[in-house]
Amino acid sequence: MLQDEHLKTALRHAPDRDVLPSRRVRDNVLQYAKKTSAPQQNVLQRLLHWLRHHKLSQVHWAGAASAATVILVVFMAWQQHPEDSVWITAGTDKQNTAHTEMAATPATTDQIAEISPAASPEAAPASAPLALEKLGESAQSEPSGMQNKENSADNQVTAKRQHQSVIIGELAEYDSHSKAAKNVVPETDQAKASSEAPAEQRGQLESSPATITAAQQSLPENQLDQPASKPAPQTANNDAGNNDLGNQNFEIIAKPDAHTKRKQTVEDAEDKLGRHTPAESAPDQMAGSDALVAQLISRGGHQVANQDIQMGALRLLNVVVHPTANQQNCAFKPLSTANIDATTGLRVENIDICRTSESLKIEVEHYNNTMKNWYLQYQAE
Amino acid sequence: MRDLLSDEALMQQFCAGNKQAFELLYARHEKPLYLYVRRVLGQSLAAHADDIFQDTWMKLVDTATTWQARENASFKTWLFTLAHHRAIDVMRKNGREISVDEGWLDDDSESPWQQWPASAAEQPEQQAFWRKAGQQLLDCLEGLPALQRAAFLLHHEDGLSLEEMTEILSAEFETVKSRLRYALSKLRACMGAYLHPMIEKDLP
Repeated sequence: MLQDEHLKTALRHAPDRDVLPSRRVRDNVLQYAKKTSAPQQNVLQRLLHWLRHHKLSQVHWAGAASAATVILVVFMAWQQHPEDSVWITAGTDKQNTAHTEMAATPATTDQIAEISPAASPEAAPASAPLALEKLGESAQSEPSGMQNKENSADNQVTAKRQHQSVIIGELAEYDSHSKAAKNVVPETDQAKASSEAPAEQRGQLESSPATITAAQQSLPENQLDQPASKPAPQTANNDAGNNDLGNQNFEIIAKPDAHTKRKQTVEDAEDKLGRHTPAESAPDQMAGSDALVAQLISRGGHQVANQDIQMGALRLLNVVVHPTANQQNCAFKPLSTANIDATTGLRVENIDICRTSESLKIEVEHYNNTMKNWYLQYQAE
Repeated sequence: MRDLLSDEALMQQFCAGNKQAFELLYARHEKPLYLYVRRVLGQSLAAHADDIFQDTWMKLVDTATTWQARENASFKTWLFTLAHHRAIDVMRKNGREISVDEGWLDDDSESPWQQWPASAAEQPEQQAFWRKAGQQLLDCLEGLPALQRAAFLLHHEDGLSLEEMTEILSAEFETVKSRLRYALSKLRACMGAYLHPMIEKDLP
């Protein structure tokens, strides 16, 4: 009923029976099918096919880009190792405390390898020898109330941390310079004087090989290099040379790179003080009381006190004969803080020795007098 | 060997990446599909036949994975569905009337066209006659509503069943059947006057 054979026959004989799409259309269709129907053999090809046929919105692309960025940042952070200087700076709380109070309480020689302070960003290059000397000559001590007053010293320590990496690198360089300087700088009269010390003093030094070495190799020039962590007032009115010495200190720091010039400047400063000391030293070989005793004997208590004042290391000294005196294995002990001086408020550090030394006591007395005089003048100002 | 494969099997192979399977499918359905598109559009919109034909095949390629997921899906039905919808869209855009004319249905069994015998032999004279009849039929198709014309073409030219037509035309079974009846009635009326002399001649 619904299938009409007559109409079907007529339709089969219609004149449009043989029409076909144009060849262009046929080629387009077949070409399109070939491009699209590539076999999807792996995940990458499937992904590309999916991306080609499913347009992603900007939100999708932004999300993908954000994820890729986060992955990249995490990967870079994971791969990046902190610099050695960061580890050194981080340190322990104990080390940080030592950094903070370095100006007033020099660190021990054990910290030489880890701590190398710089006076300021400008003086950073010159602080390599400074760090070596300061750490070598100083002894372990505890913080005191006076240190908290010295804010400039704290600022200086901050600058020191920023330039640690530079300083560490220059320490090694300075070692080579020092070794070379040993061959250049002649022995001074002061060194000869040290070797011709009284028999009692010599006996004391001979009893301790470390002390002898320290005395022979003490480095006044290095000590003079040390910048004042705090512009301490010039108190040594009874010693005009000290003022010049303080000025020379800053001059030396400002010219840190010229090693030979620096040595000449140090010698000039020593000339003003009327004394000469050996130019070379091995500060890292001296520790505790050894270094201080050697300096007191070789340079005198007055000179050492002025130097400590310049450095901001305010203290008084007290000679204590150790109970093990006159024993063969006697050795100096590190400085120890005994108490606080009631008059000045300065801490009193003990110098433990094995044998009584009158010359040492005299120099210590000179040291304390100089320190007290400066303190009284400072209080008056 | 591949000629024996069904359309659906070839389509499966095409989805698996066999390009030759698609070429076979295209060769099988190129002419029927193009004729359908061209006749549905009519003479006035015949220029769009190529574009619709091309778009239909490209759409089929793009949605191959979609077709693959369908169960018991007929490739031919799916192909003609795509073409039909595309053709209807073009016709609507060009202002052609798509609605079905539910006009008077001549169901008179006494109408002369019902007595016409089918052409048994293809003599030269008869070939000329049927060729003229074919042209007349195309002219008559131009006067049919698009949906009735599509129903007639799918049923008589492409041999699709009413069930398949319901899917292609997106209509109910009875609706498709009704459209087909209207189309037949109108075409018979249109063709009757043209064929009548020959009928009288052939009849004893």
